[in-house]
Amino acid sequence: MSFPNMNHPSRRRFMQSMAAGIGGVSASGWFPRLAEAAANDPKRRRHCILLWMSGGPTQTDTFDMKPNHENGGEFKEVQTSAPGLRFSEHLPKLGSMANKLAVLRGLSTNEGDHGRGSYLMRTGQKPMGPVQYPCIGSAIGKQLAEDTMSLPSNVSIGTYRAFNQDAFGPGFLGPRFGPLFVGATDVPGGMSNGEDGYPNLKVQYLDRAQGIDAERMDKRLKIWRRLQSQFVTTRQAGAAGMHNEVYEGAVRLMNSDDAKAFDLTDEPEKLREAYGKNVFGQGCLMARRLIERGVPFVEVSLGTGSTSVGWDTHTDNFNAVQNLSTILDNGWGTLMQDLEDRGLLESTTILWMGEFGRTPAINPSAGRDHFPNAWSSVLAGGGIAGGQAYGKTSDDGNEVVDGKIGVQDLISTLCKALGLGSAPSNMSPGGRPIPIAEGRAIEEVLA
Amino acid sequence: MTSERPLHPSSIDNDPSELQRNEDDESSVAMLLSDAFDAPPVPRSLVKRLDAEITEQWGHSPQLTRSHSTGTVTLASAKRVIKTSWWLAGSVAASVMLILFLTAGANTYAWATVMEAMQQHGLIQIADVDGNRWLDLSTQIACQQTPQETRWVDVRRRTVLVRSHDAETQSSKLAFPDNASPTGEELLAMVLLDRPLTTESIQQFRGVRIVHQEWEQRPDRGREIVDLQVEFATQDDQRYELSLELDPESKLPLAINVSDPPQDRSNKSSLTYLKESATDLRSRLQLASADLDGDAEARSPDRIAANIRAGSTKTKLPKTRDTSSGNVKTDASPTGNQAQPADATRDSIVSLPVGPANKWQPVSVIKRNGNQVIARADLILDELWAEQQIRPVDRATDLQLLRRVYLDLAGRTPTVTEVRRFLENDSKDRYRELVDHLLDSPDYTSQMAAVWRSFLIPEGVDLDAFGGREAFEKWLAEQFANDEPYDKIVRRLLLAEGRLAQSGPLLFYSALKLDADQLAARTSRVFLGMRLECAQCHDHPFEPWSQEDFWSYAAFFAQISRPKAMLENVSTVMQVRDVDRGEVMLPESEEVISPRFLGQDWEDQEDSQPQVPRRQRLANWLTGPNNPYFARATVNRVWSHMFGRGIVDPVDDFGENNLPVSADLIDTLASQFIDSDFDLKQLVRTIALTRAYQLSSSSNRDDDSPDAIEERLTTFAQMNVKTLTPEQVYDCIAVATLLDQRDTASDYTLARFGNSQRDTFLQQFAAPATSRSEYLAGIPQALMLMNGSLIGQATHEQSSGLIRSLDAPFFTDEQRIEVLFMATLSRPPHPSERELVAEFIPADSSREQRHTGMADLLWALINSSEFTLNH
Repeated sequence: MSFPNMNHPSRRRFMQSMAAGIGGVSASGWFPRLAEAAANDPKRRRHCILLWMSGGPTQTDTFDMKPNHENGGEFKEVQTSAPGLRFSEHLPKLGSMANKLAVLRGLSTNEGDHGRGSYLMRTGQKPMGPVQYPCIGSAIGKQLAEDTMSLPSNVSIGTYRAFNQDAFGPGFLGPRFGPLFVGATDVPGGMSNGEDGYPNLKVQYLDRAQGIDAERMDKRLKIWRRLQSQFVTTRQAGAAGMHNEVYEGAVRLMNSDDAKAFDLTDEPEKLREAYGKNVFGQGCLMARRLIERGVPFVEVSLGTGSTSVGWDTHTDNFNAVQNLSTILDNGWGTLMQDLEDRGLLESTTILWMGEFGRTPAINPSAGRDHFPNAWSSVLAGGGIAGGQAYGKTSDDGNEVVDGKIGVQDLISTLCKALGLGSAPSNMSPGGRPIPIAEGRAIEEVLA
Repeated sequence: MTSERPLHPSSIDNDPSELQRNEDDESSVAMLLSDAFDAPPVPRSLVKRLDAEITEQWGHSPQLTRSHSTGTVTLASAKRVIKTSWWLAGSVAASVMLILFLTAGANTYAWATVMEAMQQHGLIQIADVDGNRWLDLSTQIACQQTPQETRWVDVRRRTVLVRSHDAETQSSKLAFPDNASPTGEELLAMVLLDRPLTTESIQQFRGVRIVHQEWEQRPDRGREIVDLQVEFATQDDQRYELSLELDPESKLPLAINVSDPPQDRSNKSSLTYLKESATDLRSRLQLASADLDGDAEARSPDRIAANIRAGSTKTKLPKTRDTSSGNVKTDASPTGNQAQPADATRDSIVSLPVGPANKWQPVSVIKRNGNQVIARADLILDELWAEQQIRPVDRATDLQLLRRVYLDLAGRTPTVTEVRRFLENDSKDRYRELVDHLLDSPDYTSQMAAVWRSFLIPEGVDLDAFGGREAFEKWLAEQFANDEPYDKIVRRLLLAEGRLAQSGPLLFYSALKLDADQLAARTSRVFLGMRLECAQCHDHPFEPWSQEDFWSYAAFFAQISRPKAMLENVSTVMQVRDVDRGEVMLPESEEVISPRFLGQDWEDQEDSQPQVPRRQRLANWLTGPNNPYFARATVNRVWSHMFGRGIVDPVDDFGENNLPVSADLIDTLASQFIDSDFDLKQLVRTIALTRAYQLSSSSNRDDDSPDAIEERLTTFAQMNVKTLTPEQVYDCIAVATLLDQRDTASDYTLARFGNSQRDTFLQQFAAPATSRSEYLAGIPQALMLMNGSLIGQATHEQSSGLIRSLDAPFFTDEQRIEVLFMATLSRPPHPSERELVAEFIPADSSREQRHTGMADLLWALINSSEFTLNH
């Protein structure tokens, strides 16, 4: 059985339904869609992965080191595969792929509070005013989405939303473009590993309730559709139509083969291990599986540590960051390699950032504090001219001395790398086009 | 089985043939009468003869055309043309005779009957979008109020008082050449035609006469209305046309339409019949004059206090920044002796209703009883729809209303017992009775607490250390349960003191981190209906609020005990109390901004008492009767809660660029709200009993375009489908599926507090809730309702309290299905749905099959849009 609104039937499902004699999808409706799919050059389909560093990652111990300054800290700076580009010693895999990475060292914002900083970086807008802005995952996901998907346009893995729920929502774009959260936890350390040593990353309630088999679910949905029809047809506008649409989307997802993307047990053990036995690593693996199945925007969070919000290293910065760097390097490094092996890196742009950077100065608790004045972000993969650092901070790391950019510039650059032009817009509910970003795209880091 | 039926029978049955015959009779009589009255004066004997002749020819006298009729005949359309050309001032005999005749013939309408009815009524208010005018025919006092000025004319005393913006009352005298006062008719004609009340125009209207009048009775949205057209001619033969919409019973006009209004005036006005006296009105309008203040009663302390409460204190109005619009500040005052201020109230300013070119002015409070407010709200919307040619949808069925009003007022759907009880009540007023019953239920107080909590406490703030949202809701519920006036609740909230650990109203401060700018942003949104925080970093982009306006408002919260640093978290040991230090500064500057009430200039601050704590001063101003925003913003929020969108929408965007659907509607409700001492319950009741609230949410019309639907939805000519809050979703599921296994035969009350299953559900279901008419839950919430454990438990044949309760052998299958529908959708199944059920649960099913079948049906019902939405 297939569902009336299901626009993306798999071949197997089609054969099944024909064999079962139900024939819910007519051949005339199906073949043109196949042709359409063929006409779409897969190379032109773009994807975006946001690696979100919750808590605010330190730039001084990762991508903008100050080895000859007292602010430099404990880590060594080492040469990467890209001439002249140097990273922390704890990011070896990324170092080996540095020619795909462009480091932006001149980022300067002015929100030093987790909640406000999260909103600013994730939406591009200051957290105030009447408009509820969508997070860039929703905004860009909508731009890149195709109508015929059973998977949502925006999936967010391992998310920690407690700093500011609004920074993680679809804003004025509405629920259709809201992220599908996988393993979202709103308390630090909320996700623990299962018996196999891997975190149990799954979409909540995607599986049928206990004791309800496929046949019974089908029957329930049949009754449900019949009940729906009369009510919804006389109330097309507004909530009723939207409710129906969201439900059909959920049903489509439940019944889709693409939902297998969330099942990581399909992957070889060796590869799973390479990504790392943690939420971020496995999230990166899931991101690859989602991108393979056409999801335009995936976000993976790193920062929900076991006791604190990972990157928020006010104390004991160096032990924490060394640990985080290893997780980051394994997950992100393996992801880059895996995508490249599958020919997907060219069409996938990766953005690494948090809500702000951390002070170059080390505090008495061997920690670093919030610092939005001069910090770093990294762009990688499709559309990006890697192997370089753009922008420069002073010797002590306290000021941007060259290539100063703001969040709008960063998002505009991302949009352009994704082939969206530098200022794509979404429509507000009032019918006003609201640009995702109106900054200056940094041509120097665009391929 | 009771089926759904409309509350009122749609119309009275008419026998068409009888109606036709009557219509013929009526028009013949009318012809005869009009011929007879064409040539004045008419001797009295003629009337008698006429009557006799008519009685002979048609079998009954025209005086008795209605009262004697035995049947139920209602005239759908009766038309009269009465041609008259007599002089008002000159033909006393004719007019006396006409009044006699016309009042006797109860079905006849004319200018004279209208005048008489109005004369008996005392003070009449005529309101249009630009202003108000008042007339008291018995004392010959008239008043006109425009955005520019208020003009009071006491014809008998020949006194005119005029006050324009920011100016003091000027007094002058009317002077008539022949020293003869205008007649009541002349005055009435002038006021109805909206002519200026000046010596010149009074002279012009001397001897005005009627040259033509004509009336027609027609049904209008379920009642009868009489349209009376009158054409006047002045002595210099200026013609004026006036149409009046009369109430057939009282013969009082409800609305008037002037075909050729004076420049810049609207042609449509509505009339209200006030209980207050002209003296009351004058003191309410703060028009004082030595010439008139001989009336001692107007100045008694009681009365002045009452007036202050009623909406006019000695506050100056917000200064308008308006430069482009026509809000000209005139100094127009007639020559004459200037009145000396008699007391402090003198330098206050008139209260004006909002006009398109004005900022909000203090609400003018008009005393009306509950039914009058509802009737007026209905009338305002009727007129709005007529004006915009919007055809409202039909009334919702009683069962739809039952469900809607339960969800809005009690936050949950009715139990099966409650549905049945309602169906068994055959009172004509069962909906009204239900509203009153719900308003007195404990579920009303906890629902209102949840609603206000969502206004006041931002999402995503961790309050567990302070007792959580629940502690705040409990405090609010207590206030609502005690029927505390809303202004008092707000004052308690604003003036809360103590350690944060004490929770209660202090949770408001905890949630906003004691932050002056957050407190300013939130209070201005909720209590003033303004998004002032848009002006936090720069002047407001769309409204005339400057950055300084925001920070001078925020300065009222600056002197609270609070550590200086940016706080990420507040702690339970912190204390809220007023201290004598702390200032706000413009961002990125060292400029200290001192407190200033919104919309007032520095020098106009209504209080200058620095020794009073700032919060106290703010609370006094904010909840004061002269605050133009507080009552309006509140009624608008409550309206939006019940309609899914505000009269000003978004609810917190009162501004020059976001005009209300109807300012008159807001003001009517705000006036009642102030007059009732901020009684929220009465406000909710009024809104629930308006006709608009009782309209259907569905439409099935051939001519429906998305634009037409949108138009109806925005003008409340069709009910918006509202989303349920996560709390409502849980509570409805709990009620429908007997989650808590309680007996529903007695009065049912929700367990809203201390329910851990509910808390878990709410935490997981969390969906943004910015707008009530948009569905904002997404795929995660849909999955949770389809596959989640709560629904699994609630609908599974083995665990569902509802399914198990249906096991009793005395139920037939049909009854069981009916219970499932009533429990979830609050209605019995439609025939097509019965068929559907028969298909899935065939009659020959085994007990087990029937069980699973019912469980499946219950699952589908709970996941249906009809269940998950408020419609």
